[in-house]
Amino acid sequence: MSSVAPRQLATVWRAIVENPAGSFGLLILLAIFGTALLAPVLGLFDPASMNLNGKLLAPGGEHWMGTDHVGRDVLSRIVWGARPSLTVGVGAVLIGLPIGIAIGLMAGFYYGRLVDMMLMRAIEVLASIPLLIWAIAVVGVLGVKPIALGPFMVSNEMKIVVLIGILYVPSIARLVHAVAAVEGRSDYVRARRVQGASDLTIMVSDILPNCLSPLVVQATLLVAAGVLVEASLSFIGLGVQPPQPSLGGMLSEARNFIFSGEWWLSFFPGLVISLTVIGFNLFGDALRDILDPRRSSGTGLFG
Amino acid sequence: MSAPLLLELREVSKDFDLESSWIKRLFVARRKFRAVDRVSLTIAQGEVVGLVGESGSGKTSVAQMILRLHDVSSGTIHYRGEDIAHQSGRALQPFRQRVQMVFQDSQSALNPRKTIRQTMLETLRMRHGRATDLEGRAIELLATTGLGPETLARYPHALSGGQRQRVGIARALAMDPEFIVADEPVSSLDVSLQAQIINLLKSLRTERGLTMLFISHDLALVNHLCDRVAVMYSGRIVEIGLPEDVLRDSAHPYTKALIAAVPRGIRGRRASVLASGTRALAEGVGCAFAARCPNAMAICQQTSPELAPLSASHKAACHLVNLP
Amino acid sequence: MIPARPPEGAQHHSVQREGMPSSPETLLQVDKLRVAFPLGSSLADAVSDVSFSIGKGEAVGLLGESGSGKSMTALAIMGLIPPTGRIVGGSIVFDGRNLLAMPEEEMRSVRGSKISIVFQDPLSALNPSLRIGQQLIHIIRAHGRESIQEAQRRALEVLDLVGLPDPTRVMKSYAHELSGGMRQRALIGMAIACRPQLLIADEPTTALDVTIQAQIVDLFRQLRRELDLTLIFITHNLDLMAEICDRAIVMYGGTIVESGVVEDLFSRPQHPYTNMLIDCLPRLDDLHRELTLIPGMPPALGAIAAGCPFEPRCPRTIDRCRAVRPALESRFGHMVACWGSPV
Repeated sequence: MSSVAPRQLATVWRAIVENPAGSFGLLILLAIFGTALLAPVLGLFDPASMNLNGKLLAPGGEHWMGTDHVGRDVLSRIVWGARPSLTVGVGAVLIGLPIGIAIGLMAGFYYGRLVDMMLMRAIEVLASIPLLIWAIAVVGVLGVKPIALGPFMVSNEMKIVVLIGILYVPSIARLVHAVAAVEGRSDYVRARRVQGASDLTIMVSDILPNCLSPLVVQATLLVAAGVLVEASLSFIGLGVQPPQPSLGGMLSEARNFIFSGEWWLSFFPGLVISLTVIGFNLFGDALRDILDPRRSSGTGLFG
Repeated sequence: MSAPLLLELREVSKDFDLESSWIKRLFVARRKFRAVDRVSLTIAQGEVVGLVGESGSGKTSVAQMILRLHDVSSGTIHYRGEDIAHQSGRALQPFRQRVQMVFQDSQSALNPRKTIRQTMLETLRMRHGRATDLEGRAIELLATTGLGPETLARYPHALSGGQRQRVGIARALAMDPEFIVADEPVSSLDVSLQAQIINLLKSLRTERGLTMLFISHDLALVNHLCDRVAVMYSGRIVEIGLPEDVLRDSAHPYTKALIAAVPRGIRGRRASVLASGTRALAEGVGCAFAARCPNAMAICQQTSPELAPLSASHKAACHLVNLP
Repeated sequence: MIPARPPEGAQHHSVQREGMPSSPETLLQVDKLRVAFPLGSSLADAVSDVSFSIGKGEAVGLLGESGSGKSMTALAIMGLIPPTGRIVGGSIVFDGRNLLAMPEEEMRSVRGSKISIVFQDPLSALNPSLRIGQQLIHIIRAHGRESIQEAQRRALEVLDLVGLPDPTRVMKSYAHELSGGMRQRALIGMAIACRPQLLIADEPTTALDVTIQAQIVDLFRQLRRELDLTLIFITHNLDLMAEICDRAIVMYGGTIVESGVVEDLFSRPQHPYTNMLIDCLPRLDDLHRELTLIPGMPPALGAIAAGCPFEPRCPRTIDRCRAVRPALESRFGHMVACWGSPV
């Protein structure tokens, strides 16, 4: 067998070349995640330090994205402000995925039985709750301060992550359920049963891999949605509290300056949010194509 | 008959619920569809028994019940004397090792997301646990079915139908079974490949002393390959016997119609005797074939005929034949 | 190999050979047809140098396995080749006009009304969301100027013609509500609704039970007589083909390897592949004969090098077979493409 490393590099290179859109998306995401992660060491301005003498400066010179109405550097606020958005986006998916997968697998594998009926009805109830309203309602009730849950202090951010994550469960569960219901009937599952494999083994080892491809696309879309929800919550003041920077908060503050010409206050935060969502979409699409082993080009003649 | 009985089905029936709504199922009387109706069959060690029938005959349901993929609605299935129809889980494992299945549709018989290596190894692990050199065994098994070791790295979609079917056979053999149920193993293959797979099955039978239940709609194939042939219609076995019995001395009108319908090339075929007809749904009264039978009599609408012996090897379920 | 004497007591009626006109007027003439698909950076032939002619009223069988090019030839005649493929050579002359030179609009009027095709799987060939009647009426009106009432009447006639009991009910049914045999009859009905001159049937019975298959075969024969239909019957089953067809064309790897009148093909097959097709599967009249086996598989697209496409599997090759593709030559009254000596 030829050595593995050059083989894998070649595959990666091919993947990049064959999927320019996806590679572009990946690039955007790497840039955004990278800068967000490396924020502390990037040598940016302090996002909280005000400088009333240098307020509302247009982009240029030291401040690549200008300054806001109290003189804070917009670029560093954006980099720091992206962090809660991305955390919420990724965190919510990390919560929704395992729960959704577990429910979807169980219900789909036992399609038509009582378990399936009960689980999917519960999912439907959950699915009927509108995401943003739900988030607003819960945070509105619980307040924006960290709450104590037993020995733990749950920060506002954590609260939002969990809220959104729970509401992601239906879309993930339905996707997995659809795949599991079909694949559960296939002959290879029967073959495993005939060999004596347990239901759990079959679900995890045979059916789950078949769900991965659509799940990946869904997951990327859901991260993007999470970013948007967080931005919306911060926009109306229920998310990250000022003076902590957040993309939504910045957009909110920029409302006062839309018509007075300080375009950079709303443009850059909006741009970053949009780019994040676009990046996820492009990357997710490309991933789905790559993950499908049947993707080999064919004329459709002989198979 | 010196060979021990491996498989014994006694009055096995399978009903499927027609009602899709679970609420109706709970509160209202269920509508049922009898896919298999009191089938009895024995298979001795070393035998190859064929099950012939068209779509809706129930032959696949019989196979699935034997392999415990479905529960039996009534009746018993004994394997080597043990009632396996009512066993499950751990208790069933010895049986599971001994009896394996080869599927029809090679496309769906292999997990599209797993390489052949993964499929073979997970099967071998079921059989041998964490023993060593499972890969070596996998290569051997593939070689037995005529495939080279390079097959291991491929995905199912990269293989041809014939190759996939061989992998399916190799996978079944990986459990070291003594009994194989082959459900239409060659129907979806090209003609030239069918012959190869058939010859492979024949040689496996001789070399490994395998016992087989061979299910097919292809009358010629079944009669070529099998020691005994059972013809199914609408969930019942309507005729059973040696190939000569079933072909030359066919007793049941359905068997005769099947034989007549097979194309014979330039010499044409006998005039087709069969009208179209719908199958009886419920556990009906009378012979299920009566609606289409050219020889139907009054009694055929009233009582369902039982399998009665015509000779030492030959049985048929038909009132015409069983006339006192 | 001639099958052995029929078993005692069997009553066979020989296939009625529809009277072959003494000089059949040619309806379809295919000449050096070549259909290719891109493979990597070059083109690979799916159909290569295929020439044959079909006379009015004939029933010709196109025999072969996967990769033989038989379906692709039919699609080429219909102008329905998948978009990635191209017809890179040859001509298809139907009733005096070259179909390959025809603009698409004209081809559309030919398709369905003059040349029609019946596919293998009626469930996927029928629109699942439309009733049979709707689809049938749509086809009738697409090729003529009937009013809806007239089209409806024609539709009922057609369904009756194809032997469907209770045509009114079938008109109102959806595809999935009918049995396999009834679906195929409905599909055949749609194909002949506009009284085509040429009907192509691509494996029309493969998905059906053998008893239903026999009925559909009878239907084809009846339609041939009643509608004076010319038929191209595509299948991999020799015996089935022999029931309906007068002549057969055997294809392998995109080319014709043997062709001729069915009796000649069966009694003196010249090409080793034809021989294999005849001998490799058990037949009811000759159950325990050993199956003659030729190892290997039909070639994949692009796997055919120069020379005879059957060479890698052939038990009787000579050096020439690898280098030069054999041309069709006449032997014992039918055409064979083989360098081997006559059998």
